[in-house]
Amino acid sequence: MSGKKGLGAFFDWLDKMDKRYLYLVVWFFVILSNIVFLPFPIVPSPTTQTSINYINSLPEGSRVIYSCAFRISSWWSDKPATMLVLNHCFMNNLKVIMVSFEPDGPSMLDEALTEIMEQWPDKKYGEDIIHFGFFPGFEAAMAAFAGDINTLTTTDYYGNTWKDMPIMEGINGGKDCQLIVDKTWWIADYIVRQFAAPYGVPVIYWGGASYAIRALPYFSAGLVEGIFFGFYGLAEYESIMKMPGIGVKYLNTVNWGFLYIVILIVLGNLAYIHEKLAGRGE
Amino acid sequence: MIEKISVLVMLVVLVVSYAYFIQKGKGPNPAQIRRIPALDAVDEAVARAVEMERPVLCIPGWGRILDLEMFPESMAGISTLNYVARLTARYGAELISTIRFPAMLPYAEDTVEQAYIAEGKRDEFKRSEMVRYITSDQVPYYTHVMGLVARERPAASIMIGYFSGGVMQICEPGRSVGSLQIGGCASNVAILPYFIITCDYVLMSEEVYAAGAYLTKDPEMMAGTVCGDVNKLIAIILLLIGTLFAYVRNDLLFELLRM
Amino acid sequence: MSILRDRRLNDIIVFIIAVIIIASYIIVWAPLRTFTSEASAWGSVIAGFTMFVGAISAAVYHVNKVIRREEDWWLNAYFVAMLFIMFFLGIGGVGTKQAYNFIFTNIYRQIGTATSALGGLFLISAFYRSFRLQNIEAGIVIVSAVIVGFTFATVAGSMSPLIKPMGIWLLTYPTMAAMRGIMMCIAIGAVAISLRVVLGMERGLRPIEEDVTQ
Repeated sequence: MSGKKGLGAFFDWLDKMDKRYLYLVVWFFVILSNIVFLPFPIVPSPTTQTSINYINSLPEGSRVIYSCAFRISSWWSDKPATMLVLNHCFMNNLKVIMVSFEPDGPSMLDEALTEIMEQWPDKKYGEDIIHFGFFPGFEAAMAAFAGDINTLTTTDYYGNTWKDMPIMEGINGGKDCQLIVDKTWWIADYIVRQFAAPYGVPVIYWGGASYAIRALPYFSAGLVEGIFFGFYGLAEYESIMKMPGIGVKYLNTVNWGFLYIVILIVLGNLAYIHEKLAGRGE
Repeated sequence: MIEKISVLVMLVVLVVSYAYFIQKGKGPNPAQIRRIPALDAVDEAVARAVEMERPVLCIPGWGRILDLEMFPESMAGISTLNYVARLTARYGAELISTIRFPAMLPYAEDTVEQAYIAEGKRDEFKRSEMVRYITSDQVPYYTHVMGLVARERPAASIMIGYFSGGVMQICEPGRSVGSLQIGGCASNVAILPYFIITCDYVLMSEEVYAAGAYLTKDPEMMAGTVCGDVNKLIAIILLLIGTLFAYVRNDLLFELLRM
Repeated sequence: MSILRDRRLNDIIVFIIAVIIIASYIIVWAPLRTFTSEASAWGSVIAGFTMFVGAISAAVYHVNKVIRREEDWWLNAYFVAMLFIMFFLGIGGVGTKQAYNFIFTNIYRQIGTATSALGGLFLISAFYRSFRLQNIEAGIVIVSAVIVGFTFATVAGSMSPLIKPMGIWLLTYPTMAAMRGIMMCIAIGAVAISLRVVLGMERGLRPIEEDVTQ
């Protein structure tokens, strides 16, 4: 030990402490967030509002591709997002074409499909919604799906011939659809390159917050119609649609977590400054 | 009928400039790349591993070879892996390379094998030990690498290529075991902050593409780097001209580039 | 057989296909476009087969560990067992679908979510260690990070009405300007590196003829 006393010893300990204490405090904040709810209003970002307005502006019967490229480990947040989009589309009588470009996708979309059909008993599979399953190759698969779905498959996820279905009337590929909502772990560039740039299909991008920032240039250039910023986008979407769910609930945890990070930054810098001053004093 | 003439013109300019710089590279005054400390540190990293008798972890990125976005960085990562493999073969360090997408696996195995053959150490090349495919899924992948770092305690971690989320989960344990870490990512700039706060050296954006040329000093690869820089200069000039045109509300340049 | 192992054959195939695909982008001719579309679909097929390559490679690594009875070899044996179980359940008939879904939903998903959450803890320790006011640039980074973080956290609204607009301004102007510049440079650099690969000049893919690292 350094032999320092009082505040000096505290800052010394802060600077060198075992990081497992930090993890322990995280658990404390997470538990606290489930007890103490910070009642701050959710102010939607302009990009979220624009996305919702665009979906509302589509005429009834428009085909919306819900493209997913997310993983099983994020299904706890991606499922509410998926249900929100599907509910929003069905509220506006839009038709949804579901497709996955990651291998984990099909079973999760199947689960979402089962649930949405229970919530909307008047909607029919094959007329209002279709599930294409997974296509390997990522961007190559997107290119093929956008151009001509026949080059990839003649059947949907359940083995039905998709050309016979009313929802796919007049549709050969993604290029014939009115909107693509891309819920993904990846950047927006793929979907913009394969749908928006060559065919002019409007894109709404929903990725992680740090990736969504990279989509901002496309948004300002008009290639992307709207952006949802990850988990915050979910909370804002739920708030605007008046369908509160885990987004709104766990935004509280995010608030507490962020306050904790700010406290850590302040404490860390206090310890650092103290160390610098003590070093100069010697 | 030809469309997208502007793209054709730019492509021709690129190819012609590449050929020119390859020729120039064979002359008495070849182009030089400025000093990149992160790449200078690669030799230091391998030397450290040899001294400490601990392995070198080299991850050539998490890119899909068949993916437009990730392909160039994946190639840069493979070039770096090739160079690192040559050093580990030469100095007798243990090499571990983890692969996330299976399409990268044949490239990685081939490049490491070629490196060991070139150093005359064919017998020391162990395919499944040195180049390990883990899984395509992000969470199991970085969980495995976290465990690998904790068990093997690499003396050096060289991570150059395309990376996405999960970088923190690999770099932070590496830092904890005292590994000298060199990280670099080009297109996914959202990942760079994670490298900056956990790695000792970082390659930012274009420096990743220059990695292969810088390390090997190969004249053709250097020509490619210089060609890219010159074409960037042309793009900047077009940008400035375009800004002036836009300021005076003239669409001429815009229409020319749309042709 | 030796011609199939000749790397020049690889380079020729890559060059021809690359030229056709680039030409299809520029020249309006149906056969070229059809070829490109088919090539994209074949790309998906190849990607599907590479999954087998990866699975076999992983199995070989772990089986070798089991055979040699290395430390914790039983974990490697467990991996190999689960690999084969999930493989056969996945390609099996109707009766195996429920079992596959059960393992996928109740085991794989939960483990994945838990491990994903654990990873977030590293962010906390990294932030604590790294966000120090060592110089002016570090100070600018910390202030920007806090402002942008507060942009999305609803607690910001109660602290000051300026935080959200400042955060949005930071994202919309300086960040976007930097992103645009980087994206442009990366695009050109990517084309240059792709040109190297198409022309067969990428060193990482060539057999090494002479020692150029000395």
